[in-house]
Amino acid sequence: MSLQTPLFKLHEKYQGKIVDFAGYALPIQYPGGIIEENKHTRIKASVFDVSHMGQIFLKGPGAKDFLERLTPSSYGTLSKGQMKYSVLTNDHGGIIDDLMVTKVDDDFYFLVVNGARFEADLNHFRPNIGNDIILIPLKEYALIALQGPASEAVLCAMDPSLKKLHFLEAKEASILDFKCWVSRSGYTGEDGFEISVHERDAIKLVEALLQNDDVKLAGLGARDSLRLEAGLPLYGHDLDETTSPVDAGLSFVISKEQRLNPKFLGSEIILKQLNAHQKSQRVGLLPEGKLMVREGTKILDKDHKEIGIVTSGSFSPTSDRPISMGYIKDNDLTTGREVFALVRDVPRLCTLTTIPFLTPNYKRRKVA
Amino acid sequence: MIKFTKEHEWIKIDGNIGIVGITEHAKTQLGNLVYIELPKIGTEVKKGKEVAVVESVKAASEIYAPMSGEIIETNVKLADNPSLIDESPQEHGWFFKLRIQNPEELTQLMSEESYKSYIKD
Repeated sequence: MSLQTPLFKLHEKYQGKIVDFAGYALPIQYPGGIIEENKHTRIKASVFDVSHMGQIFLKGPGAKDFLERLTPSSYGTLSKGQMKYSVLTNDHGGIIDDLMVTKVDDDFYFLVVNGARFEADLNHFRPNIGNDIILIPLKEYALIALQGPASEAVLCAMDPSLKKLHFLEAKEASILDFKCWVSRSGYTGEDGFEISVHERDAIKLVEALLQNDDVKLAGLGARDSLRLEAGLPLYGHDLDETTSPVDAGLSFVISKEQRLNPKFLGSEIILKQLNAHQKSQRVGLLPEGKLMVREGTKILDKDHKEIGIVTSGSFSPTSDRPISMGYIKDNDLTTGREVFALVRDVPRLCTLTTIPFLTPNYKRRKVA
Repeated sequence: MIKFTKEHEWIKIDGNIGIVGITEHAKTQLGNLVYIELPKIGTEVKKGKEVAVVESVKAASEIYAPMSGEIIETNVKLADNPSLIDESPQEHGWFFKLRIQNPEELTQLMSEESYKSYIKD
């Protein structure tokens, strides 16, 4: 039996097609369908229920050291209200999970982890927790994503103080008099926000967002095609305990400080890979024609020798064509190189491309 | 006469020719269809064996032959426009026609009435 998020009754009311995801009953789509929901997000704004994500408070004088042991990033230069994307690494240089870390205050961080990895993360944290920190899972909070170019106008009309936020910044806000924690971030490649709000207020808040004609509901299906178009990896598909952040094209999470004076788990292996410029890499693939090349499909070179595997693949509603990403171990990863994907035993032509498949539309703070 | 399978295909029988497609119910379950792979004309298919593939944004699904026979025509319009299946699964969205090899297989298929009660359960 799946758990229900605080928005479950709303999904039923709007005829969401419910599936089990990460142990939660969540809508894969609403009656409009995935393609329409994807397109609407790129043009206007969509609301997604992402309450299955794990929200955790990390507090105490040891919080920064804890994060710098568990992730290859550094947090000394992060100011209050700034956030960053990082990964939890293991001893073998693999990835336990990917996450967002926000500095709320001194010795106080807010973590958002994958729902399906929540327990695994807590198990991984446990032996690393000293007396100088506490972890508080926020079980009673919904997480609502508002994504798309109209998001700013919609949300700032409800709390004008949110105009101040730029990409990867967060602050407290008051929406309909509900106290919320709002970040300017998301998983679609569009401008947008994620709103953490107490479960008792979640449905009222989403109903209020839906009052705006520009806002529609979107489900997990559109969330997946949007993130794939934006080239964003999905844990359990594009990342797992055997992929390293270097292979995954996530070397940017490894800070300068951690490269010079590494404190993170798996640093011996990961830093060696970083210096070796090794050639297994996450790449984009454009299949020829309309055929979808999905997760688990083998990638072959022109002599039909296996050189890699597809980790995500779907139809892109934005570009009206199939797109895929995967890992290739080969010296030649030039854009435009022709390779083959073995779909139902037939080799199908694909060309290599760079990810993301489209230019993200984030509202970044201008660096003077 | 129209008959149905448990895998949500339909077959319209006209003499020894059967026209095959997927049901309204199957279409709703699959979501927006974006790709279809049809069999080659002349292929001999066996009842219950995979004969075509439809893909939605989320997943690929196999289509099984409701009866054994030889493929004599495929709906070429579907290749360019799989949304025909979304719009009209039991008419313009037909997949292929086959020359029925073994009419006795008809007895193993469901009537419209039985199919309707089958999908209710």
